[in-house]
Amino acid sequence: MKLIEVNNLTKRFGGLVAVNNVDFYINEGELFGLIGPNGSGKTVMFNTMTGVYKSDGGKVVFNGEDITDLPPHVINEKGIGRTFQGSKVFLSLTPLQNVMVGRHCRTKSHLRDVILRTPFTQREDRETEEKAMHALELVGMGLVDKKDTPVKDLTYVMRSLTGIAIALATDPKIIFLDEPVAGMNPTEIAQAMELIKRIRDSGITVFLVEHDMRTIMGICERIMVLNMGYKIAEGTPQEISRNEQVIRAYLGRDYGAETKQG
Amino acid sequence: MKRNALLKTKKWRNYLIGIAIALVLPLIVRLVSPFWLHELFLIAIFGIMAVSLNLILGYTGQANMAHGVLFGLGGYTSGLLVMRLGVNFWATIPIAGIAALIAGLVVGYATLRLRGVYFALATFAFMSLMLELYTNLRGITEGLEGLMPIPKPSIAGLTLGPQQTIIWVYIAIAFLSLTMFVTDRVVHSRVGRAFTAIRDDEDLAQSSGVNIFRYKMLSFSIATFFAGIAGALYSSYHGMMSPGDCNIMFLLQVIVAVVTGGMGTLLGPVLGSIFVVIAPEVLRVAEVYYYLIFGVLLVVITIFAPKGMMGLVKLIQVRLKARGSREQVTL
Repeated sequence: MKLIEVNNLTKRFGGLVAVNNVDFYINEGELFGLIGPNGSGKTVMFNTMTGVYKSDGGKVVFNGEDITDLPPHVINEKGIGRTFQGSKVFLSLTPLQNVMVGRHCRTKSHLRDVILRTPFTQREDRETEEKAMHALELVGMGLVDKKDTPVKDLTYVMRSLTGIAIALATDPKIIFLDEPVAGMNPTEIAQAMELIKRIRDSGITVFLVEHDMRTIMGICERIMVLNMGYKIAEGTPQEISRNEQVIRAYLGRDYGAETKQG
Repeated sequence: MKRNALLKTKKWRNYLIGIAIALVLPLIVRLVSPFWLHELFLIAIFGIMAVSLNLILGYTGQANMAHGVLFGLGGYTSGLLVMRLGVNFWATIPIAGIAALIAGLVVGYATLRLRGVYFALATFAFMSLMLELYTNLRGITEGLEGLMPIPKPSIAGLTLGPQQTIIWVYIAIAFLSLTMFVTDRVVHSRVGRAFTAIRDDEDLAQSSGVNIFRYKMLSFSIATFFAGIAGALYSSYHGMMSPGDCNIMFLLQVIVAVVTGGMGTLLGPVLGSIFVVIAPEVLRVAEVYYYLIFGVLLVVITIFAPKGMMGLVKLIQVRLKARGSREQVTL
């Protein structure tokens, strides 16, 4: 079943067309990859799909519902969790507090409840903490041990993981990961790949952006390739790795020409 | 669970200490000098202003420059209702709060979609506009001279004139306590987490499910409500309200109180208010050099305590704890 379907999505910045008429879909339970050289429009695609940018044409359908250009918090509530490039987190908070923010749209306590500290709020706060701990445990990789250290004192990798845990805490049906392995060493990359599989196995569809081909080829079932805002290929990792246009986009025209001759 | 129970008893202990200070301090101050009772009242008023500004500035990260004129709006609302319509002063306190809150909602709706310095500029423009109105709507506000005399209210037949400063102090401290209580409850909750998330990163907050506009509006309106109440108390105590009572110098003093005390802490703004009210009195001996010394003092505080006095207190606590554990190790 198609969980998310994108039709003719376009995003322009002035004269620059960052995403140009892109069509694709992601099946439920799938591990779907998006790759492309730097500046090919991957992050713009994420931001346009999640409401951070307003689209300039096209449609995003999620779970049978048109979600194009809805505000980011509404899209999040509908079941799309996401991380940002560059390990965006709430810097003044601890990982646990960061992840508790992620529970926001699944909880209800409002001003009156919190001022009076009603039993409802107390119960909800306990649940929030428990659910946040679950998300930290699902992420693993030592994050639980650091749960009370301010994030600004943690490594880049720990911050990235915190970002993933925030997204997981929002109870998403699909999670968008924007270059989660940036800045990781090979051991950590391997662990992160295990984590991504674990997320998928827990029933959450994964939409993964990466510019490094090798990391994505190993785990994704289907991959889409963007170049200069255009979709240039889509298919299984094997198909993608043999695709001439992809090779040319990544290695340059000359290399592509040589392989053609060879 | 054990940790929670411990935190709870600590919390109750802190509440009790707070109540004890609030009850005993005015009595001690009265014994020392009635003049300092007046200063104590001002500290409590600055305290309400600083604690509430801290909610939107320190916890939610929005540099709100309208706080001072909304204090003014509360003062004018209460003063005008008492003078022109003969409304009971005690009834005007919540009305002043609500008037400031409604004005806050209107300003917030217009400006809170702006980010960072643009929000500060927009609210600054609102401040200038309101000050012009207070000054030039002479038919209502009586211009630069201001409203006066605002009749003194009475409590159980006792008129709260200059001899009853201590009662004013207790009233102001009661509202300061209410402001602190609400702030404390709000920041340690789902709502407060949303505020902090907005302060740290608006994009991430939004994509993590926080309706940032709505929560900025909420934080802004809680803050302005208390600013309006502080204004009502101040104008009635003084028996007058003029544009000079809520101009940019007043706003700057409140901001200085928040920053020197410690942004994003509960007690910091109160400590900052003590500093802001007492420093001019202590430095009075310096006469013309007052502003010079005050300026240098501010620079020194920002360099050596960038997180305010509360930051300094926390640093000292950590150092002492570290030393304590080191001594244990050597033993």
